[in-house]
Amino acid sequence: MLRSRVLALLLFALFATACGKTDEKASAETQPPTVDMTAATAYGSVAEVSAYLQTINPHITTFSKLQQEYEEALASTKQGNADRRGTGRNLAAAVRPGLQSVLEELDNIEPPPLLAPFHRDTRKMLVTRIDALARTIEGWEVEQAEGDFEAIYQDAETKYESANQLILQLNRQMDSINTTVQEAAGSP
Amino acid sequence: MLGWLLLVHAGCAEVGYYLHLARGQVRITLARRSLNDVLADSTTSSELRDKLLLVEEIRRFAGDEVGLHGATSNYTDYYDTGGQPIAWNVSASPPDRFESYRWSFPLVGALPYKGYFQRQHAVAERDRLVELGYDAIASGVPAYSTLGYLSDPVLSTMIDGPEDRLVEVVLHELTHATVYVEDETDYNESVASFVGKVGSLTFLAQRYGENSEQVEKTRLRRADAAAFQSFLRGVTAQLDSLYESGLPRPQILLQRVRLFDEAKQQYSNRRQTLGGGRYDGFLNWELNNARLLSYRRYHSHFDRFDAVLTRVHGKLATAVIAFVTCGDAEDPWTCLDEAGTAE
Repeated sequence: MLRSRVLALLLFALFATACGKTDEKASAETQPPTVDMTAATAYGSVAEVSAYLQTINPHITTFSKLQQEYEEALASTKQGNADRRGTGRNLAAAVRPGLQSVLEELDNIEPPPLLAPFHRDTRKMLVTRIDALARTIEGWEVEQAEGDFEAIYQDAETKYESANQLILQLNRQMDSINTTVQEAAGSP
Repeated sequence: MLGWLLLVHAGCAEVGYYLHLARGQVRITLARRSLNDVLADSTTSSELRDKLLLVEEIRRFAGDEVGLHGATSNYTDYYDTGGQPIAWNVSASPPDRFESYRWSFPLVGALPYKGYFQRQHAVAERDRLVELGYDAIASGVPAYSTLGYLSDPVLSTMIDGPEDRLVEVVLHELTHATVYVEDETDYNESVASFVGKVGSLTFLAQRYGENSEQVEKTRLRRADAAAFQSFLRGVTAQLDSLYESGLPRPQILLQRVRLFDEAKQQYSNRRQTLGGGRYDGFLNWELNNARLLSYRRYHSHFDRFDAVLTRVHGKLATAVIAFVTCGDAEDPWTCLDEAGTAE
């Protein structure tokens, strides 16, 4: 009886779950449209601007991935708290070194002169976010030492908000850059 | 013989995965105890005993009054998971759009998740997908259904929690054994969630009275849940707008960092009206597209099922027949909408 039941279970497991086909070709990424590289724009030539964007885009992708690591760090803490977002220990381990590394990479990039303000703002956003993380870590350490941590977390929140405002600002600049490049290149 | 044919059919590409599932299922089968044994055991706590007796009542209700299949053959045994989830599900989506990554299986069709009995296997699959650039999560599940192929046991994870939750979970899982549409996970999960929620309220009202404390508490919890779901719908709608904006991918990825961040900040600001702290776990969510899609799968389309229930004058068993019928239709959702509006 038991033998036939086990056999039935094995068959079920094989049958019901067989052949986990993974659609790896359906990539997580989409391809950008091609443009005429010879045209001029308010930010420099299309070639110049495109080359710059191609250089910094991987760093923006890395930044986004680090955000996911940050979220994963939060999930691993399993500590519900309405006033802060995770513990310093987890955030320090998971995110801060990665953001520092992105910042160092950005500092090694020479933007076209007319894109220098955008590059500066991108850097500023990263610095603000790293500062926010540093304050969160500090708050956690003070909390562990049973000190007054509320003001530190509040400051961290303010810095996160500033970083988000900078992202909004970057978005407007990116809109302008992309529109200008598309118009100059004659793309729809 | 059939086993070998199936292995050949499966292409042997994921034999390790099937063996993992088989081992897990066999482990549960060998370690489960009949409810009668557990109830007769003098070391069984009174709390567990009460919950198991309640399960027997729920089964009768599910079969007699909701017309769910498998109410007599399922939940006749008990399995203690040792405080751990019974399984872990992996799900994923590209980061720049809401689109479930799907795994295809014969018999059950394409599913937007892949289950494991051991956490480390689920985490390895999640990490593999993250490496490919997807948003991915590996989350514990408190219960699952073998769709009526096997007799499912009552799991200790099902009874850790309030009574209404136990009723809801048993009805939810039994609905899977009654209504299952290949390649239509959203339909399957939505209908199971709907029947679980409506059925559990009816069950509690019958057991304790329409105006009882138990029913009132459940209604309040549901109202909190509705407020939180509405909040999450807003977050998802904002992200949907961003993903559909046609912006270049890096711009989308940058903006969504802000939206995820602001969603948690907004929750903190509004937590008193969003369950008064009941959903603080949201602050620790691994917030990404996979998580949001996974949540949406279980908490959407209730109005469409409710229209059918209203149409049949609140008779859940009659509505379930309609849900089963629509499951057999070419497009279950169109059928459902027609069933909800037909004169």
